[in-house]
Amino acid sequence: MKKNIKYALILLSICAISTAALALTNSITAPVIEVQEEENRLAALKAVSMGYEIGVQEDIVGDRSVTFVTDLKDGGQTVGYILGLKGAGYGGEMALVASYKPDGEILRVQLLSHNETPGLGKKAENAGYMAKYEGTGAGSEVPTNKNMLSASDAQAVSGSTVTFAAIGKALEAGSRYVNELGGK
Amino acid sequence: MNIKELTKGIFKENPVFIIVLGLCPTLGVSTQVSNAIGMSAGVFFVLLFSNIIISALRNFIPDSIHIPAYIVIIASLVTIIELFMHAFAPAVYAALGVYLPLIVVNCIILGRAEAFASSNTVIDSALDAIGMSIGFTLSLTLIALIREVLGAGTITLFPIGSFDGVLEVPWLIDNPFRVVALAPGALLLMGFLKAFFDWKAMRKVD
Amino acid sequence: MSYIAILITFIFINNFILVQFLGLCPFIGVSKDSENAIGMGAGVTFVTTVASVVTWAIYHFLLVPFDLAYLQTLTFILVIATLVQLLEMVIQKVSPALYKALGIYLPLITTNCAVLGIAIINITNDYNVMESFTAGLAAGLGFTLAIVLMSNIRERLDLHPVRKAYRGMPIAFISAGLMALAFMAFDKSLLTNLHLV
Repeated sequence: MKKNIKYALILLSICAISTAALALTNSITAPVIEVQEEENRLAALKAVSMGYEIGVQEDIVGDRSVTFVTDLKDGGQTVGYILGLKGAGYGGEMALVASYKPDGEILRVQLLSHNETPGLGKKAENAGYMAKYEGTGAGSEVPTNKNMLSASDAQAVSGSTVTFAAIGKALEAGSRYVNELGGK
Repeated sequence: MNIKELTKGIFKENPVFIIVLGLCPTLGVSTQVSNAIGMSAGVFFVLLFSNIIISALRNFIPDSIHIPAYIVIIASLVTIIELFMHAFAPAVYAALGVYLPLIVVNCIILGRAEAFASSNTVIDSALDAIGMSIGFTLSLTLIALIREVLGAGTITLFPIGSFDGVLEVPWLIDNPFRVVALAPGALLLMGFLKAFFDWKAMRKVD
Repeated sequence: MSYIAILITFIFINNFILVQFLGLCPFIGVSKDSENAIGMGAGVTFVTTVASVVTWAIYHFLLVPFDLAYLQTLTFILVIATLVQLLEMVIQKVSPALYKALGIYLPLITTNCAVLGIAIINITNDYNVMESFTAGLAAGLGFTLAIVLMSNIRERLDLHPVRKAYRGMPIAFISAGLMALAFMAFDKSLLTNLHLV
């Protein structure tokens, strides 16, 4: 019995020391992580904002594609929206931010995170890749499969069909979402 | 102090190719050289400190509770490296994903704690950890290098100054053997490399 | 995500062994004959399913309310180790026959990457409790599928001449690679085509 208590105390002291060490580490890293995530978010919003003023971010719960929305203002007037979007790619969930005109036309797209295979879906990180979507959404349909592109554009996304379709679908859903907002 | 403890991990008892331990991260993160290096750094940190701590406490931890005690120590070290990577190397942290916390159950670490640190001096244990880590790093980097060069035609290192960290291999960048970068390629490559190491070991015996 | 989609994802598309490499050590070690493979598969499926639900509850009812999410890895591995011990004792009491069949695999399961892996993936994917349960079950089933198939391949390989250097582990890895190649036929577009997402 005495032995058991001794063993329990030894284990308990190891746990206590470990937890204390972790709490200390966390107190050092937590603020750094928070600042960094905020910076990343702002940088991504800025990259797609086209130089307009960025409004207050509103989180959307329960939508299949849209994760948050903020409006873009120019001199007090709403000139567009930025949406946070998610889509299912080849390797799992992908997060995007995209800016839209009030009529649903895509202005700029940026990929935030993904789990795609390097060399395949990772093509989506190249700057020219997202240009295939820009300008679509209002007058013309968002390309959600390779056959909707010109031959030379299709070549550029070859081998990443699933990723291309996933991004296209998320952007299309975003475009509809913006349309429903109706330029409020 | 025994210098043999340092060198055995590199070839004779190479953790990946000879003892075949810690495969999940080896294959899972070996799609890019930079990920392999990040993972190796994580394993090095955890293995070194777990070996040192466990060896220092070897007379204090009773035999019957040694497994839970080791797990707590290792899991704490893993969490520490996880938090630091999240804060100071976010790109590597994101790339390693679920494989980073899985260092806890990496057989190399618990295996070395059991087989070596629990019955050797602190200095020998530290040398053992360094040797094993070098062996792990070399193996992991080798697999990652082959997979990235053949599978994507690039070598991804870390960006320094104006260098963006990505080296491109001529011809292969336009004509990569994509299957090597995908899951089947990792398993096939592991099979061929293991066969090569077995063949070498057999030749030595003959 | 519907439950069927989760099942298909973890059994086929993201098969723990053949795509994510989680649980590879026991996969290579215990797949020499099909009887052992089935035992290991059953043990792992049981533990991934129970561990998914228990770690989910601990994360959402203990770690998050007290702002201790950074203790996730430490808590999960301790919970899994305790759980495996408890299971061992319960099975030993309730069904000695089952204990005889699974007993030797249970201690190995604590350090199986698949168990800690699914617990962490459930949290990362923001699953609710039922989705976690489904994912845990599916991950275990995917593991069982792969290890049973593999053991059958290896039993047959024993009857065929294999070059000396390739005997044992190398040919096992290569067989697994070829199986993984076949599993690549399953990808996320399958879910889209079945109208599950």
